[in-house]
Amino acid sequence: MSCRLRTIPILVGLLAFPYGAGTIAFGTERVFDALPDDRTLVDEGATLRCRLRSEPSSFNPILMFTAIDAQFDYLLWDRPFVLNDRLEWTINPRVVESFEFNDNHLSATLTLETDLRWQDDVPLTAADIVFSWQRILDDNVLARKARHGTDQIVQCVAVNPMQVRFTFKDALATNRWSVDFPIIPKHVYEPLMNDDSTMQRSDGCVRANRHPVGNGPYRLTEWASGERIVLTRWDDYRGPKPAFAKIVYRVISDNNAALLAFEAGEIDEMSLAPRQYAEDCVGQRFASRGVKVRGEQWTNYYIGWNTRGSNSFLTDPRVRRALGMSVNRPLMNGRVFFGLFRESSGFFPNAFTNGERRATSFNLDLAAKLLDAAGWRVSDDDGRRYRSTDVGKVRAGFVLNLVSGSQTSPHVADILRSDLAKLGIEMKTQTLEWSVFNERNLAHEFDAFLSAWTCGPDPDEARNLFHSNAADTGRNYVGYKNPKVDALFDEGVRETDATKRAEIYDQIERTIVEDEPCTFLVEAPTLWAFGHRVRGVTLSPRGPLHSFPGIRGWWTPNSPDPMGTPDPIDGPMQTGLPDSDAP
Amino acid sequence: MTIPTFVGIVLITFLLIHLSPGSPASGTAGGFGDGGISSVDHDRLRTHFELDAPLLSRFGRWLTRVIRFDFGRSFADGRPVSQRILERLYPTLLVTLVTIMIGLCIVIPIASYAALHAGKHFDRIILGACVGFYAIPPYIVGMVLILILGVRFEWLPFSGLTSEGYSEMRLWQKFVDIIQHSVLIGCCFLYPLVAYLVPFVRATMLSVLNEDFVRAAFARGLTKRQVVFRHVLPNTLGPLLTVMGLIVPAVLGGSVVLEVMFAWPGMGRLLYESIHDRDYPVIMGMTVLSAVIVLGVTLVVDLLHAWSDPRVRYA
Amino acid sequence: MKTAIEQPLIEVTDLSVRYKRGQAPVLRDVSFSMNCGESIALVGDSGCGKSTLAMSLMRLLPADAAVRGSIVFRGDGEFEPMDLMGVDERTMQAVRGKHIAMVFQNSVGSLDPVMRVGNQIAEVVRVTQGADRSTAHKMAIKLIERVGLPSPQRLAQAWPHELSGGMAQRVGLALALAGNPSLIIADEPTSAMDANVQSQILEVFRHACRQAGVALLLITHDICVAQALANRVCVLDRGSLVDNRPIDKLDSPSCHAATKRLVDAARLKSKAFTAIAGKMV
Repeated sequence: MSCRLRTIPILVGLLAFPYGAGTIAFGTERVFDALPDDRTLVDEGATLRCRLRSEPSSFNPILMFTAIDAQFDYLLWDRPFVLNDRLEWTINPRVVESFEFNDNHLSATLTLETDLRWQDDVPLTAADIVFSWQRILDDNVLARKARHGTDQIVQCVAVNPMQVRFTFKDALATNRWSVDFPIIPKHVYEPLMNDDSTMQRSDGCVRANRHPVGNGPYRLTEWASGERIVLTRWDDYRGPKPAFAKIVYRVISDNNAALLAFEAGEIDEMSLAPRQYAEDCVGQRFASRGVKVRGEQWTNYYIGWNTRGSNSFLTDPRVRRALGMSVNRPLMNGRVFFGLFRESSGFFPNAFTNGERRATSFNLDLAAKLLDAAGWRVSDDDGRRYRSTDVGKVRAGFVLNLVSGSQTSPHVADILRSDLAKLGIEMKTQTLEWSVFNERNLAHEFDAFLSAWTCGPDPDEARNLFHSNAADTGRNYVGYKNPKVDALFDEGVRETDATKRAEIYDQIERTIVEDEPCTFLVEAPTLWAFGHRVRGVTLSPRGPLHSFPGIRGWWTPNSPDPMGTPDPIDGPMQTGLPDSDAP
Repeated sequence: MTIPTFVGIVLITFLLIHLSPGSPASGTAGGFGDGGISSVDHDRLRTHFELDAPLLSRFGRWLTRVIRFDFGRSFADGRPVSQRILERLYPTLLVTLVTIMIGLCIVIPIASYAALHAGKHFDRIILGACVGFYAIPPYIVGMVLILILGVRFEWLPFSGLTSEGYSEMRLWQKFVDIIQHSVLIGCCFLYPLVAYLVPFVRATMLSVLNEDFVRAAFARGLTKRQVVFRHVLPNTLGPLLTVMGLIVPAVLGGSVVLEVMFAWPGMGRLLYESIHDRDYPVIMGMTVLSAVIVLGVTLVVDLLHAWSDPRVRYA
Repeated sequence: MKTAIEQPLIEVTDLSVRYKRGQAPVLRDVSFSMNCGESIALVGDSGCGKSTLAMSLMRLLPADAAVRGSIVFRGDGEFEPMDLMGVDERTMQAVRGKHIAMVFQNSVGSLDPVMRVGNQIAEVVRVTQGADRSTAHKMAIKLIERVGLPSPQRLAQAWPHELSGGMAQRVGLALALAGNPSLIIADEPTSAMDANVQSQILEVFRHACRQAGVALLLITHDICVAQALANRVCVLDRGSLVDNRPIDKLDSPSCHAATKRLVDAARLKSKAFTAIAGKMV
């Protein structure tokens, strides 16, 4: 699973308007105050105003594939399984009465709660689940994200209207993720799909995709294209009632415009770019409107090296390790990311492995020794590194592909370039549009690329990056192939004991770091701004929106609450990375 | 002449976007699930978007459908392209057409006054101001307007076309709401237009004022007002129309920067998004539309020109 | 031609014009007078200040021109004599077109290209005589007829660019006559035309002026044209009026050197002109 380096700030270099040099910050602890049981304290008629970076393509959860689409997932739908704020697999008791694995993890039985209903008052039954599974695996339906894992289920049958039995290909530890697939209402889609098996090429299906019938606590009530999406609380929802009566999403694609809207009180939350967090959200004006918070996120920026031999320089692991040592992570973090990021020590979060490890330290001397050992020696003529081969001398150098529109990646590349130049290695950069960048990676037509990867909730998802099976069909763009790692992945996916699993993934990470098919640079945090009235936020490793309960748990106090007295900057601020998971 | 031009524009765009690197299959991915995309998914997407057929046969198929006004469905959300474009067209048309109207109403009096008092203080100040304003990029003015009128004083809304609860408003409230939302973005469209047109109209007018027939009209006892309104202005119209013929299509295309800044649901943003996502049907639909607009505006300008100037009519 | 009224129609005294400070004056102490119905030719080489004189009579000189002297205009006795140098712009507007009209050298260029010929004439009729739309239009048609243009109804609907130079100059004359003025200033009205058309136009001018009893100040560089229309010749040389004599006294030895030069220049012209002159005078 991954998220790429794509902050598309269209107004690149928009004037930075200083908002004065106030240094007062407000206490941020209130934003994490959990929804009180005493609902008289909660304003249940309030409207929450959220910022949407761009419009979702579809509200059909089977077709959803962007982070934007997924933002609505837990609001419009009640799924049998959810990810909590630590991205742990959790059974949703609102939907599921019981769930258990049988036959040594080869099958599972799901029993639904009684009296589940869709928002159009049609009962939700096991047939809906079976129908959804069929559609996801239907080759005509372009399910992308939803298909991931669901294809491990070989059979899904409704034992009775309340019970579904799943049969798996294999007894895998990841089978619990596989049953977490989205559910769509059969009675809505089945008649429409007679004419349109793709689910998105007829007016009927498109209408159904854009005006979803869900079963969650919110219904879609307005979609003004390019402008606004409005969710309204569904009064007949039988689970715990969420606090906000309405959620208005404003489509504001530009970060700076969004910050202005935030400061004008038009939106209650937005994600912040590092520069905004460090430099723009510091003044009185911002402080009078809201707070900024920082939390851990499982996102790492990394450079992928093409190990397939497109550039003979990069095929040697010693060279790649030397390149890894040439990355000045502290400088990158300080200069490009305002010290808000953390140096990457690997690609797995600590929760997946055993304990801490340290980031490779910046050491050009050691890198030079490694390069010498690999046969790339500095020429006395021009100070560059060469290696003699049968065909002649080959110069050390490569081209780093960057995604256009990123404000940070050119600076990251600059730092690396100047350090590599000291070693006699010539690094060129090439900025490509996202679509082209992606296409080059798929075709393995690159030397190296700078990208970002967000780790999913299960470590097995790294298989798609590093397993040799994924080199041709998956996302293993760098073409990394190591039988030991393949074996470990296959072992890890079968291991159900958590401690043993962690050991296996620890080993995988160590091995991969040794081979260095990718060099991990920095770990990006969640940076967010919330209006003063917002409470009940939880920060998951995917930010505040993409976990359960997410916005369902947000609330605003009933009485016009005094904004809180200003605390000095060294007050209890939610900034330290390790402790910033929501309380 | 119009039809070959049209087919030419459309064919070149079609080839350009299809031959340029990147494809809808690699452009649409995003989010946590698969920011990068696996090649299996990539191939499925290519099949889904029917990208495997030869290029020219795809163009032929597309063109035969377009002749029946069927622009296909958007790759992004499956809706008909015409629907996606139409819902974005009216906010753009609204702001640009009103801007052009208001612009002309401002430009003509100012430019006339400046031309009639050429070399005086007013004229110099106006000319200087026009050059100055024209040199400031609209996004900076937009930023300043937002900061002052939107954020500091909270006088005017600055993002979007309508407010929440728009659908429940009465007709006049809807009208007021849209006008309020249009003011700031409208100003950003307006001032470069005015700053560009004022010197142009002034110069045209000055040259008309030096024509023999203007002197003759004065000699025949007409007052300044009569000369300006009956003889000078009608003769300024021709060059102004020609320039408008060039400006209008450009303005109607919307502005990505301004639309992004004001979260305006207009054409510029749609085009930007569709190019980013390689949403070929939408890009092609917008190409057809802009070709139609350019050719249509040219036709209208020609007709108006003929109406305003008898010499053109018989030429 | 009627006998001269005691008082002259217009009396120019010591008129000097200078365009820019420090530059030589374009007109230097020019004095002459005209009686009602009289035709005077103002002759001189190009650049001697003829057009400036015409424009200063209309007070249409550029704003930066410095003018000195007096231009007393008596008109046909409808109003008190006034010094055109002293009156305000509003009065001057009332004088232009209505009392003093002008015909220009660039006949087509003096017509608004985007207005029909008839409407332009009617406009002057309305402005100078306060006629309503339909009366003005009828009068415009009559005026077109008076300057000898065929099918006046159709011509009224024509656009200026459809006219030949000769036709346009007839329209120019009609425009001048539209205000029923007592003085017409014709600035080189025929110099852009070939000899044949020139003679026709001159004939039309003479006929029309005589019929309406309008005084004509003919500005020309060509003494032959002067001979065709005027009774008197004023010769302008480098801004000064150097000679002022009846048209038949041009052979006199007392003539100024500039007059002689102009007469000699005219003699050198083709025989074609002699034929015309013989026919006209």
